[in-house]
Amino acid sequence: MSNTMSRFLESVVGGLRIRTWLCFVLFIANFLIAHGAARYWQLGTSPLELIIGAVSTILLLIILSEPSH
Amino acid sequence: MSKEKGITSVRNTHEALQEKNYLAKLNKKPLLQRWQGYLKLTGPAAMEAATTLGAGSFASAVVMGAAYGYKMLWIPFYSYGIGLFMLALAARFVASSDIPIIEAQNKYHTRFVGAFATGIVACYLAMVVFTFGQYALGSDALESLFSLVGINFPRSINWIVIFIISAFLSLMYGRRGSIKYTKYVENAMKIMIAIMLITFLAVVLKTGIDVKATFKGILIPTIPKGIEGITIAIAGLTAAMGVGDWVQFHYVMHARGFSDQHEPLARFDMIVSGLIPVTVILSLVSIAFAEVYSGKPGIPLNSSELADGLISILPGIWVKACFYIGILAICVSTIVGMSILAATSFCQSVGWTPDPDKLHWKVLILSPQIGLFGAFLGKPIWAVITVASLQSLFNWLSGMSWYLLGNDKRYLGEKHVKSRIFNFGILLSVTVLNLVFFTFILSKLGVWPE
Repeated sequence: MSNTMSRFLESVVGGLRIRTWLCFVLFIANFLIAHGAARYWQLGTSPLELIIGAVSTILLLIILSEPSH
Repeated sequence: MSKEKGITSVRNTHEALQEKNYLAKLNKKPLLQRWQGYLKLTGPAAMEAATTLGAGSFASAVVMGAAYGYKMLWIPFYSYGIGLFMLALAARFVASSDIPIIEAQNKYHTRFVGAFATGIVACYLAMVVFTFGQYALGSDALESLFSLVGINFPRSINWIVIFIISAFLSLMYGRRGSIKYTKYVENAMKIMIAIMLITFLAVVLKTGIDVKATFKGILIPTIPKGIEGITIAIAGLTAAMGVGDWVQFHYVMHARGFSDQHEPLARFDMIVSGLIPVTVILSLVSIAFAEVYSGKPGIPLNSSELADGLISILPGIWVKACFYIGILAICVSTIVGMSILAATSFCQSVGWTPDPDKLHWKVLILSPQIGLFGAFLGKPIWAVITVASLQSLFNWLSGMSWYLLGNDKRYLGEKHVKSRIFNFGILLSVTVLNLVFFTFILSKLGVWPE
């Protein structure tokens, strides 16, 4: 199971170019956290943006943590 | 060779090769013997820790202790703890490649990311501007120290003492391409860190300490709920460690001639000479102020007034003197560390040889001493805000670049990062820097509270 997951993650991260693009996706996910938190706590809107930002940040951290082989 | 290339290429000197051979044998010995051997060779992390322990982190520890008591003691420990991943990455770069980091960033990620964002913004400009605060606090402490024995030694004159000590130590660093002089300066920094430990411990022994609350405060992070909590968490996690600290650690390892056999030593060093002293010293400062002010209404809001209040309740001239001597050690060691980083990063950014025997190095290493005007004028607030803003805008680029280089076989070959936990820790630092960038932009747009 662990090896299958590892192979999958490695295939997602692939080379440096994809890793770089995923870093920018992480950057956008971090924006959703900051903007979503401000909207939720300052303006009292739905926390959906904050939740999407937090969940996608965690997923991207897991994917990008996979080392290249 | 070292004459040609300066502090980034002393790894092939006789002294460095001798240490490398010694470490090749030591690295195979049992754990305790290894640690015993490493203890004698530590130093680069002390340079980094002494730079981190400056007027800014001192003021922050003072205010946090007075306002929140023991609750915010976790900040230096966790901030430095997460930063350890970046310091370990800095050590990997040194151990696995001959190309220093800013040159590598220039080569693989453009000069905008390397020379500008990392070298000039995160390191050179920040080091020059933040030196004003060291002179302001240091000269104030020196004036107060002499006033204890009835001698008037005003800031307008006493800055000369700070200047002479810090300029002498800075100019000594890496002289004649010799590791010997680099070690002299490292040892001076270790002595100043020891002075901080002893003096602030003496102060805390007089103010009192709640040991249980100390351990709880350091190990268990507590943050307020809501947006204030996120703001404190982000500020806290960047409090003791930033891009300048990673770069500092990287280049002082180069200056000591570190190479592939030095990586385990570097990791040992960053915990023993970095994490532990930084956490203990900043915690001691916070505890002293927590004991005096916490829970009391109407406490002052600036660190200078808070310090005056603490001094007034300390018994005996020696304990008061200890407090001021500790502050002086903080300021002088930080000016030395900042000067060395300023010269190295500027040289690397513009492609000059970081050679301590060349005139351009001497001019650059003395350039942060313009901060001596801090003794007369205090901190130039407009400059501090400008540099802090530039750092908020560009530091995330440096973080992302370091992560990518850590996973880049072109730079590190087969020594690229192979551990998920290592990569995860690096990415946590990158995420914090991304959040600093966005909260800065959103606060300027009026969406995030200032």
